[in-house]
Amino acid sequence: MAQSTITIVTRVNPNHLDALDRLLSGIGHDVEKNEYVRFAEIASLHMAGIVIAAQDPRFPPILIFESNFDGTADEYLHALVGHGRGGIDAIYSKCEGYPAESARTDATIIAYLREHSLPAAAFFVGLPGQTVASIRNAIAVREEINCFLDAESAKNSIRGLSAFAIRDLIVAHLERDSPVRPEIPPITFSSYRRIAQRNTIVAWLVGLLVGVILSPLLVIWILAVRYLEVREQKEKRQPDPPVDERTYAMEDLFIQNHLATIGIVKDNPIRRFTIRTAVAAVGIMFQRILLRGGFGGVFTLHFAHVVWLDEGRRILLLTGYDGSALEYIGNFTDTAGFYLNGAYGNVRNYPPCKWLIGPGAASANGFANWSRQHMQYTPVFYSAYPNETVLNLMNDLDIRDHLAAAKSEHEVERILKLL
Amino acid sequence: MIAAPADRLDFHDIQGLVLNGYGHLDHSRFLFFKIVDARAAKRWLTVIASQVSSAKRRRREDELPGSQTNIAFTRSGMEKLGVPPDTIAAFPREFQMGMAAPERSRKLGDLGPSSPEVWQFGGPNTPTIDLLIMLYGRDEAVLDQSANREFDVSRASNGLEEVFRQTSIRHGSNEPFGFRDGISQPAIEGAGQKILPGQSIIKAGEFLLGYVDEYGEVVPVPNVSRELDPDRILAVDSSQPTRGSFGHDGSFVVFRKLAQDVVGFRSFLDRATRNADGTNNPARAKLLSAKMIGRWPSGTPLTLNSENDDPELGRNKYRNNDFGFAATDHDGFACPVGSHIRRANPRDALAFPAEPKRSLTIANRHRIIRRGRPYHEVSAATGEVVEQGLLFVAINATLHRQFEFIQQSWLNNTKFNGLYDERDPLSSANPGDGMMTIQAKPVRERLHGLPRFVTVRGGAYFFLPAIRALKFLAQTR
Repeated sequence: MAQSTITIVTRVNPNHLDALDRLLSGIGHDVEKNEYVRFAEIASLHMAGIVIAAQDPRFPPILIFESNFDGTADEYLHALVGHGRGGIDAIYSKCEGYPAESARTDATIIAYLREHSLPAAAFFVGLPGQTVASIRNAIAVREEINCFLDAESAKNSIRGLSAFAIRDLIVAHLERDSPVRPEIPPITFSSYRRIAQRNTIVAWLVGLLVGVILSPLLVIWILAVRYLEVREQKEKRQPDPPVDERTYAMEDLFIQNHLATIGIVKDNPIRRFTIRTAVAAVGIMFQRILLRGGFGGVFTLHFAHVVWLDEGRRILLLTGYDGSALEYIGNFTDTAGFYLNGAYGNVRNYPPCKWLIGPGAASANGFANWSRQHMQYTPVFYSAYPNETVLNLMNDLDIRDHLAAAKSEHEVERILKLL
Repeated sequence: MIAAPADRLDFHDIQGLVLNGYGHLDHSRFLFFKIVDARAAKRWLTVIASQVSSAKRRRREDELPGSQTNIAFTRSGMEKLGVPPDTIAAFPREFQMGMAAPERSRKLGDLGPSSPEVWQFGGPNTPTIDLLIMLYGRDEAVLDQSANREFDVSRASNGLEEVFRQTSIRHGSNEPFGFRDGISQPAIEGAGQKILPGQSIIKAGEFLLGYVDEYGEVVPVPNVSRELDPDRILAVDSSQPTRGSFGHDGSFVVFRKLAQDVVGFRSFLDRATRNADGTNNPARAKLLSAKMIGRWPSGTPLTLNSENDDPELGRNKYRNNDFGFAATDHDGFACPVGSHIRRANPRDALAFPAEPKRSLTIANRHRIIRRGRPYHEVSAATGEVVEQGLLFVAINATLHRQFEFIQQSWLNNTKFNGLYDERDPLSSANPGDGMMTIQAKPVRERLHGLPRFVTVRGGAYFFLPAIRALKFLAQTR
C-alpha cells in the first residue's frame, strides 16, 4: 500500500499564540499518552509533526500539521478526528476560521482540515510501500529472533552449527513457538529496488529525449540562472528571521527527530520557475523512479516533503530523520547536496551555488548556518516506531522477508549477518 | 566561507600543543584559574606571553626543551580580559555555552554520575574557570620551576586564583585499562610531520582557525576592530581588512577528566568469560577486552591479527595503524563494528556512503588530535591508588563537528553504523544493562550486562589563542 502525506496549514490567531504554544508543548511532552490526540491509536499513522512558524515578523504566525500515513487522506482525517477530536478542537480553536462550537461536527471539522491542506510538491518515503503494520511486524520478528538466539547461546545449543542449521532452528521457532509470525507482504521492500532499476532506465531514456528536444531552451535557462548567481553575490544579504532557541532543545532528543525549515524564494521569475521545476523533478525522481529508500545516498530519512506557502513565495520542507540534527545536515553536505541545490539555490541567503550544482549544501558551515537560521519549532512529533532508524528497518524487512526463503549458504549467511 | 589555497603554517604563532604532544616530557600539571583581578592578570600575561611554547620546529631531539607551557581561556576568561562582546559572539555556540551547559551535556552523554552537577571542576557547583595553564616537564622539579619562577602563577598580585589542579606522571604508553594509547593520530597538512603508514593527512583548518578545512573552506574567525589593536599585534583579517584576526592560528581545547573503573573492567571481563565450571578463563577475557576495544593490549589492531596479540606489531608505529576496515573486515568479524576504535574513527567503513574512499573522506571530517595523559590519585594514608584515569585533552577547530560529533554520533550513538541498541562498550554511560554485538560467523554473539567503566569528573572547553592573540589579550583595555 502506498504511503501518503497531508499538510494542514492554518493561520494562528495572534491572541492565542502563547496558549497554543503551551498546549502543543504539553502534548509533545507526552505524545504517546496525551489526552488530546491519541496518535498511537491511529493504526495507519507513521509519523506526524506539529510545527509553529511564528519567528518571522514579515509573515503571520502559522500552524503546520503534517502527517505521513497509509491509505487515503480521507481515511486518515476520519481516523484523526475519531481519535483526537478534543485535541483538534483545542488546537484549531486557536486558529483562524475554525468552525464555531455550535457548528462543529466531525464533518465540518474534516472539511476545515481538508480546506486548509496544501499539496506536497515533492514527497519522499524512506521505505516505499511498507505499511505501519508491516514495519512493526518486521521489528517484532527481528526482536524475537534475537531473543531466541540469546537464549540458545546461553544454553550453548547453537555452538558449532552451520548457518543453514541455525536458520532452520530460527524458522522452526517462528513457526512453532513464537508469539510473532512473519507477515510477508505481496510486494516486499526489495522488490521496489527492482522496480527502481527498471524505472531508472526508462527515466534516462525519456530524459535524454526531452533534453535533446529542449536543449536550446535549456542552455538559455542555465545561462540565465548562472547570470543571476553571479549578480546576486554582489547584492546585500537580506536579514534572516531570529532563531527560535527551542529548536536547539528539540533537535536531537530522540532516535528519530523532526526538522522543518521555511525559506523565502528569491523574488525573480527565473528563480521562481527554476525552483518549481527543480522541486518537481526531485519529487518525480524519488516518488516515481528511485523507489529504493535512501535520498541521494542518505539513509537517515523516513519521510520528507515540500509544500509551497503563500502562493510559492516560501518553501516549506518537513522531514522525519534519524540521529542528531548536526549529523543529518552533515549527511546532505557530504552526500546529497546536489539534490538540494537545484531547488534551494533559488532561496534567499542559501549558500551561493554555482550552476545550481555546487557548493550550496556542500558548504558545511554555510549550509549548517542556513539550516539553523530557518528551522521552525516542532513541539509535537510522533512516530509509530520511534526507536528504529531507516537502516534498522531496512535490515528488519530484509531479515523477515528473506530468511526462510534463502536457498544458498551465501544468502543465509548474508541475512544472519544482519542480526 | 571562502575557498583558499593551503596556507603555510606560522609555527612561531601557533601554540606548541597543537603540533606536539610533548612525548619526551612524562610529567605534566594542569592548573585551572579564576581571574580575580583582570588588570593584574593582564600585567602578568604581558610578562609571560613570550614564554608560552610555540610550535616552532626543532630539528633534533636534544634541542627539545625540558619544559613546555601552554595557555588556554574559557569564554568568561576572555570576557574578563576585555575581549569585546562582538568578538565573543563570533565564537561558536558550543564554546560560548561551555561544556557543562545542559544542551552540551545531553549531546556528550554527561548524565548521572558524569553530570556537571557532581564534577570536581568546571561544573555549575564549582568555581568559575577562566584559564588553564598546561605545564609539561621532564620531572616535578622542572614543573615547579616553570610554575613558580617562569610563570609565577602562585603570586597573589598576578590576579589569579587557582581553583583546581591536576597532575599526571606517565609511565609507559599504556592507559589505565592496560592498552597502548595514542596510536592513531591524524597528521596536519603543512606541519612537516613525518607521515606514518595508514596515517591520514588532514587539512590544517580542522585544527587551526583561519586555514582551509576538509571541506575546502576557511571558516570565518573571530576578529576585533583595528582600533582595539593600536600596536597592530594581530594580523589583518583577510575577509575583513578593517579588523584584526583574533582567532587566526588559534584552536579549541577539550579538557575532560575521565575516571576509569579498572577493577570494574577486569571484574566484568572475568565474569563474562568464565568457564562452565566457574573457573576464570584469562585467554577469553583478554580476547573479549580486545573485541571491546578493537586492539590487543599491545596496540595490535584486531583487523590485522584477530587471533593473537602481537607485541612486535603493536609497538611498531610503521605497522600498527596501517589498516582500513572495508577491504578485509567490513562485517566486523575481526574488529566488531561497535568496538571503541571503530566507533571513534570508522575510517573507510561507514554504513553510508558504502564506497570506502568516500567513507574515509567523510570520517576525516571528524578527527581530533588527542593529547591525553593518564592520572593516578594515591591515598596519602595507604599509598594505594584510589582513582585513576585519563586526562582527555583534544585539539580541534570546530567543537561541534569534531569532538562533539564523535562523542554524540559515533561513541554514544545506539544506532552507530546500522547497529540497534548499543553504545561504546568502553567509554559510554552504559547503565549496567548495556549490550554489545560481536559479529561472528555463522551468527553474532551478544554481550549483555555492560556497566559504566568511565565517569567524567570535570571538564571545560578552552580557546587556545595564538601567541599574537595572547599578546593582544595582555594589552586590551
